[in-house]
Amino acid sequence: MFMPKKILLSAFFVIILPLVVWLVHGLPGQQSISYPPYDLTAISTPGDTAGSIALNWFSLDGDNQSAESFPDYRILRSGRAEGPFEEIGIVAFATPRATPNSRQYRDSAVETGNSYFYKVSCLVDGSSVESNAAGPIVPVAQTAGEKLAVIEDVILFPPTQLRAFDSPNDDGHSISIEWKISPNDVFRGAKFSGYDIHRSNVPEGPYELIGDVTGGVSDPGRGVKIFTDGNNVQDGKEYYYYVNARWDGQIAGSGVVGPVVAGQQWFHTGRGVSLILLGILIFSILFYINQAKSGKELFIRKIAGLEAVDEAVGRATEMGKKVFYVPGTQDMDNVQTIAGLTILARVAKLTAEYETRLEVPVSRSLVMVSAREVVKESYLNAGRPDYYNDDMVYYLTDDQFGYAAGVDGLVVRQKPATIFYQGAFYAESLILAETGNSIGAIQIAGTAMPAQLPFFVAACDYTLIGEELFAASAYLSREPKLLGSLKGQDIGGKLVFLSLAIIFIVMITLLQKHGISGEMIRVFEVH
Amino acid sequence: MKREIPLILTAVVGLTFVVQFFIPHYPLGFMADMFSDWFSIVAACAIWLGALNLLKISLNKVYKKEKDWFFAIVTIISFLVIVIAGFFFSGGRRFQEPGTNFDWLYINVYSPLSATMFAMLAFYVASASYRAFRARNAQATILLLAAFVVMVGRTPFSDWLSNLLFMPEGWQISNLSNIIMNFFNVAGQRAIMIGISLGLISTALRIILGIERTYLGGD
Amino acid sequence: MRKIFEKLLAIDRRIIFLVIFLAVSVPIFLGIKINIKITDEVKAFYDAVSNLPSGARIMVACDFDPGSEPELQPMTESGFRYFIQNKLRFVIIGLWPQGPMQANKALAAVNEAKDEFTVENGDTLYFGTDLIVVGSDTARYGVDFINLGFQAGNELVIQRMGSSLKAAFASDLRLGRPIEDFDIMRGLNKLSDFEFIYNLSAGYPGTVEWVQFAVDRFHVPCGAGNTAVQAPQVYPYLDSGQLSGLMGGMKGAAELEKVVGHKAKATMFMVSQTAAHIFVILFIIIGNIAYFATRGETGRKGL
Repeated sequence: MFMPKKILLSAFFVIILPLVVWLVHGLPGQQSISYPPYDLTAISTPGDTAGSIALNWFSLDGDNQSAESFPDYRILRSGRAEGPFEEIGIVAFATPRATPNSRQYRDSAVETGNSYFYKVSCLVDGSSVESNAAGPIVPVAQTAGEKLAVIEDVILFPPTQLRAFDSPNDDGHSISIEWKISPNDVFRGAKFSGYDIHRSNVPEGPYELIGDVTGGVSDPGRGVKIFTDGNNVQDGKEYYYYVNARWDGQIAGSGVVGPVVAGQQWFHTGRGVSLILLGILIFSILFYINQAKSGKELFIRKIAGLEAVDEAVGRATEMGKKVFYVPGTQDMDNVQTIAGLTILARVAKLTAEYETRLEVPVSRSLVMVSAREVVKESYLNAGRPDYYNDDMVYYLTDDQFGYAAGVDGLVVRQKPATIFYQGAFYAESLILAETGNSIGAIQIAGTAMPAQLPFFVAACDYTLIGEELFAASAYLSREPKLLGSLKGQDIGGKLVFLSLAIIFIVMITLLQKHGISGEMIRVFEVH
Repeated sequence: MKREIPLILTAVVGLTFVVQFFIPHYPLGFMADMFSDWFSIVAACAIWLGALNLLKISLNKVYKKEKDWFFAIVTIISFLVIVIAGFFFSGGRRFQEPGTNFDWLYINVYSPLSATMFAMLAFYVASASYRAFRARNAQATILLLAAFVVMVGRTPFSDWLSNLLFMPEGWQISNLSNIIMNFFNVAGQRAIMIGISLGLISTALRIILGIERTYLGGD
Repeated sequence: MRKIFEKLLAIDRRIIFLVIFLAVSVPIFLGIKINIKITDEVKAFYDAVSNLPSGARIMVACDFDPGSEPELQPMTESGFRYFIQNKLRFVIIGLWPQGPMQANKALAAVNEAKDEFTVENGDTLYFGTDLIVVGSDTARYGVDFINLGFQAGNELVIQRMGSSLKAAFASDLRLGRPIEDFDIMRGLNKLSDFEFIYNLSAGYPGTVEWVQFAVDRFHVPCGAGNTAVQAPQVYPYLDSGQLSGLMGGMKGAAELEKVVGHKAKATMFMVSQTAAHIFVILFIIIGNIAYFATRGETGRKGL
């Protein structure tokens, strides 16, 4: 059965498109694994020839008040993951901390070669708060001749959960390394010096130092530190990495990861949503251009500023005065300047027909060249090539306020009847518009600079706001191609974006309690 | 070919940047980087083009003794002083280094002149506000009130005025100013930004596809 | 009475200019102290910067000219002072030609050393350029900070830095040496190697371009200082989290001075700004009273 087009379209925008956008959006990277509140870690104590195990855990809330108000930590050990765990020691409140927010304990009563599991427990407000089980960990005796660890020393724990992978969504020559930071990596800690990253082509080395980074996490959401190796990385070649933490003269290294190979990607997976939305916009524009070319009448609402162009030029003709046209203060790489030149073509045609003098002071030499071509062409089309003179379009200066001063001087001395400001403007907008107002000229402005719009609205008779400036070329020429693109941008752009935004806002609000709102908000992130 | 070559160049470069945004693979990523470098070179050359053009126009004005030709002499002398001081009288150091003649001219001549021009805005804002801001209708009145709240709220004077008017905590002028800036202003700015962005994309698409050719001169 | 209101409506703008001139200039000499309240936007910037680890490298993008100096220069100075005192390293660039020179001015202003130079290992080091002293902290050119100068190309420079910093800035501004010769640049290959961007912007290219390219594409957190005119335009970015903080205009500069603990020019000039705002409001009120008075009388005569 044939469904009405409008129902199909509505179903597409309300159901299918949001679903596709949801399925295509880029997913976040891997999280680091933590076990709050203690996040207990255990290592074989480096530098201990007798062999021992060092434990590190993060202090609980309240462990900074007093010995009377905060109980001790109990250290529990077992030979098996499932227990039973027996208490082997106590870390009292008064025991010096390893860092402002972590504590350590060393278990020397272990036998090398055996594996052990540990937990930490604390009685808080009458209930026991127990940590994760750290292990299995096997104590290794340090060989003689290497530096001994002094019993009072704080042990540096290494970074863990090291991952290395090809940097996603790039053109190769890049490898990303992520790790969970060392427990000793305290914010603005004076003793923590950062991390060194080492690389080799073979797992046994030799490794070279390829970079260093400061402490702290790079991505707080995932709790990882990130380093990107772009140092002469060749695609297709295998690399191995490890990371050293540096603290108070100690170094603690992670395990080696690899092999990892860099490569290029054909598609940026984080930009799927952007591609879909851009595709809809382009399709819409081309569709309506086609429709306009086939003769369909496309409605465009009245734009007061553009309706007044004829009247403004006519006024100058009657008064025997000049028309000034200021095409913005930016260069040809700015789309607003191009839009301004489009309106200049129309104004120039009118001044040619009415034999009114036109002056176009510009701020950029490339704009001068283009503006001369535009005006010349307009005078030719109006059948008045003899009225055209290169001096009608002239360059003043690139400097913002030098240009404003120059135009102001010209306006005050020559007192034009009509002044157009069409293009990109900055702080000079009010200086220009106020001066024009002071001599009683009729002023028509148009800009897509939101900060300057209020000044033009206050000082000018008509103002084209934002996209009305871009619509001017379609509006003035009534050319089907341009009208079609205008309609396409409104339908494909605004309607689609707004409907998606509304649908997702409603869904995010309704699904807030189910914890996926954060993920839905991420849908529109550009990566 | 005078029109075809620029159109082809525009299409190739424009499409490269758009496609490269989604497909980073060689050669697109490489081409986008190359075109970015070329753009920097062209932009730097355009600065020179502007300066030489200004010199040419000023010299022409002096030669033909056109109206206000004296100001053209001032322009030429200023231009030459800065260029010569920068290139030839920097004492062997790089010309932008602090302590050079160029740096002295920048701090003691260019900076005050530039700041003075910008300072004129304060006067123009006052006269434009006096002339244009009238409570002609309901919308204009709301605009005026919002303007008052934001202007007063951005000054320490707002606390004194809020206490004088016995405004409750959380509804003081500075709080109202923040509400206007963070909600109403953001909503309006977003709407304008979205509209402008769509207009930009549409115009850029027309330029890339060669539908919009005004920048080449005429139709 | 009507004539008075009509005269008020047609008042010579030079009288308005004179009143504004007096309103701005007189308070400077009166030495009035005012209390600055810190807004959430400035606090957010301060929190973002103070959460950076010691030794973190910040890109300071000075995109302004002397015209915006009264608003943005104090923010630049406060930023440099804070970075040096907290051992945060910074790399100065400019997408505006005048930006790096404004940065040099700010560094010279921040320097507290009374001597002109010192000699270390046979090298003469000038205070204010090679060494910046703030309290008991010293920053050294090439190690703790560097100025890479200006590059033409607007937002494409930001995009280029995304893949290669060296392609955009091959050498430094002061000495003209390759950037890899300097300690501070070690390991900095592209934009995402920086931990924060501090952008001072007066227009285009500016904060909008840094957000669109550096934050959205390369995921580098960014905090910005803008002129008061531009600040409303970037509030949507603050609201969406794309900007980590914002100082708007001279008030923002004064708030930043307060939050970093060093009150200077912006705080001093806030008195003038307050007076100017008050007078503009008074003018608008007087203008409206005159407008309604003349309109009302015309209406009655018409009846």
